[in-house]
Amino acid sequence: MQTLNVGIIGVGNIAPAYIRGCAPFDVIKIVACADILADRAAAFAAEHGIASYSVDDLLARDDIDIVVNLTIPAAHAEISQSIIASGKHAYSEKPLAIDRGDGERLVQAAAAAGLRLGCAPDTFLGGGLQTARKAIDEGHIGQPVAATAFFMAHGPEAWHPNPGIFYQKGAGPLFDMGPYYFTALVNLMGPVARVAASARKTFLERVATSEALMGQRLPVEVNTHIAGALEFESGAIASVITSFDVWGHHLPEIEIHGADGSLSVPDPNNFDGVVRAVRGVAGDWTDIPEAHSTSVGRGAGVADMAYAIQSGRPHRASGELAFHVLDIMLSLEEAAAQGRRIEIGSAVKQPAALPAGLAEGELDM
Amino acid sequence: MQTLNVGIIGTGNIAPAYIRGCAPFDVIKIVACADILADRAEAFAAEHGLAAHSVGDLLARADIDIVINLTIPLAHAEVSLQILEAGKHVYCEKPLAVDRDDGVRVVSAARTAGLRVGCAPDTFLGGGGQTARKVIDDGTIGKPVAATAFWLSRGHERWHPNAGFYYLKGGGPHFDMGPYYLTALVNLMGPVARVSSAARQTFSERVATSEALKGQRLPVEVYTHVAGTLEFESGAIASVILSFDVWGNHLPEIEIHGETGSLSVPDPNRFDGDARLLKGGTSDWADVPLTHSTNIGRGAGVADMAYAIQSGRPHRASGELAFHVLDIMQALDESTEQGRHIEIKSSLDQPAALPAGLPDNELDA
Repeated sequence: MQTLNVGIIGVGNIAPAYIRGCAPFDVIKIVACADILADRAAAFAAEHGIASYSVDDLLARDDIDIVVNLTIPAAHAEISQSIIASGKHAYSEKPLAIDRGDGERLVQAAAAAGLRLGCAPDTFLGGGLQTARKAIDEGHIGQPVAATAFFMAHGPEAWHPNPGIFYQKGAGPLFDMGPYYFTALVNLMGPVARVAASARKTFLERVATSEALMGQRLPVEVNTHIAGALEFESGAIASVITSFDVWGHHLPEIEIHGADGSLSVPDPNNFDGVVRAVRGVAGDWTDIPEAHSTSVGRGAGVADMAYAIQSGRPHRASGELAFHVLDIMLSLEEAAAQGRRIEIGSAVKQPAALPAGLAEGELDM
Repeated sequence: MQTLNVGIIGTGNIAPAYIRGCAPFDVIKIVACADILADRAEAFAAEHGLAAHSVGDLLARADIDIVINLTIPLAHAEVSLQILEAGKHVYCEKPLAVDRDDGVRVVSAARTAGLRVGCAPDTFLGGGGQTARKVIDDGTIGKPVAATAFWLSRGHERWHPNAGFYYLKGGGPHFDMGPYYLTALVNLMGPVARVSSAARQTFSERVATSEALKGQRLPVEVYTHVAGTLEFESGAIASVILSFDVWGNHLPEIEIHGETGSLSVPDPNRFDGDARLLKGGTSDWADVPLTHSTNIGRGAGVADMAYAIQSGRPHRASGELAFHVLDIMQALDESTEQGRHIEIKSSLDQPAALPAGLPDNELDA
């Protein structure tokens, strides 16, 4: 495999995680960055030993193959389109876009240009979620029939330096945390056929309580508690909640229930965590040994895409998968607003499971 | 208060719990029983020092004020109507009826006759449920905004000597266990305005593994996994799952989330258990000291009705409450069938909280 050169657009909070996460993979090398704040790009470049450019100059470079789009959600679609228009493969932070039209156009533009479109989250490539996938694929709990997936917290206004964006269109608990949970579910159980939901905007405004912003009022544009059901093409039903309204709770992140047993799945926002299962009447939960490496991080999806570009195989954290997840999230909002079940128009195949027993820093046998 | 005489129709599995639960209350006295199996009634009467009658003869006894209907769910409405026709107050095991039409007939017949209709469950009168209610009424977690209520198991065919009826009309996890959970939620959060649901009949038959029925195939005509959302008149949203399809899970029974804190509510199928509280912005759950007696059992609702009959106040485990719960359960099925939210037409006031600090075996201060 050749090493593909990677550029980053947007050097905010999450960018250092990509530097760390991409480093172990020989198949990719981050060589450059850009940001609307030129100073910030220069500082980031200096810190990480890469070049800094304007967005246009970065996109004009011939030696960059893949551009990772780490801008704010509302800018994702436009920046990813520019990346594709410049003839480069695009890998976007979640969500792929904030409406269906933008998401669809991105997937089409990449296909038309013969370029790859990838999208976070790639946590499902971690040892925790791949071990869970293997358990299901091997029939450990039988055919999945039901599941639960819950993210509930009281919003980031107590600690985040810029919490306002979490309450604006394109965010909320659904778009912020939903991608981790729904991507994990689709990876484990296949595509979703229809959804039902109830949702509410519980408070008209939130009040920041971090030291920096103490007392600042944050207007709320989005639903902050979304509770729904996903009906999978397989017939399985998953109950889901994403919420910024809850002070405390005792719900597990994800559990999958099969015809012959139940599986406890680790936090889908992490690459590691213990998988546990209970089978039949025995009733005891037991740990399932890790079948995959947990020493991968954010950027595994970029590396997987780099392998795929060269071998011609599909990549796992794909634009199609991210679009399906976007479709689910938008449909949950529509189901709640319209008071009816919404059919999911998009379909996607489950991404291929990672082979077990890979060497560290490699994703293909 | 006078002691009111009570008769029981149906001396099956649950009848001994009523004998035990009613005994401590001076306001009621179980004096007679009847059953379609005369032998079973005789044996039960002999064991508990009661008179055994035919159903007709029991209903003809002038000295019986209240009749407890412990027949199978499918017979509830018809037997309750007979009891009312005989001029006696009726207290019915859950559910009030297996559909709305029958439920309306029972509630209307009682109203017309100036008689009381009460209905199980009365577990919400226990110390666990009433302590939770007091926490909410005192404003300790602020106004409830969201809740979860989960009962998931792999069905009763592993242990119940006659599990077939759980899979026939009037059974299913929501008609079987829903009354505990939904009654508790309405007691804590008020009436429900609208529901949404996804449900499935996961297996076309079940195989009994109890000693009595080992290997017997049980046909399934109801949904066995029901995942829904309840939108309360207050605006709060509760996520509910009731399932006979799940081998194992780590979900808490009921949690209520308020504007300023979260409350962990004990198992609504019990009269005891600790409520636990998390105040917003803190990370430690603390037990809430009990404010009500847990030394109370099935039959508390009958005793409460006996007080109410004599003082003229409303009784708590009322036919109206049970009808609202039935309305919700049927609407969950309809939402699944019709693929839309279903408006709940019935409404009611929350039952009055029990006064704190009552002596054991008294229900009025």
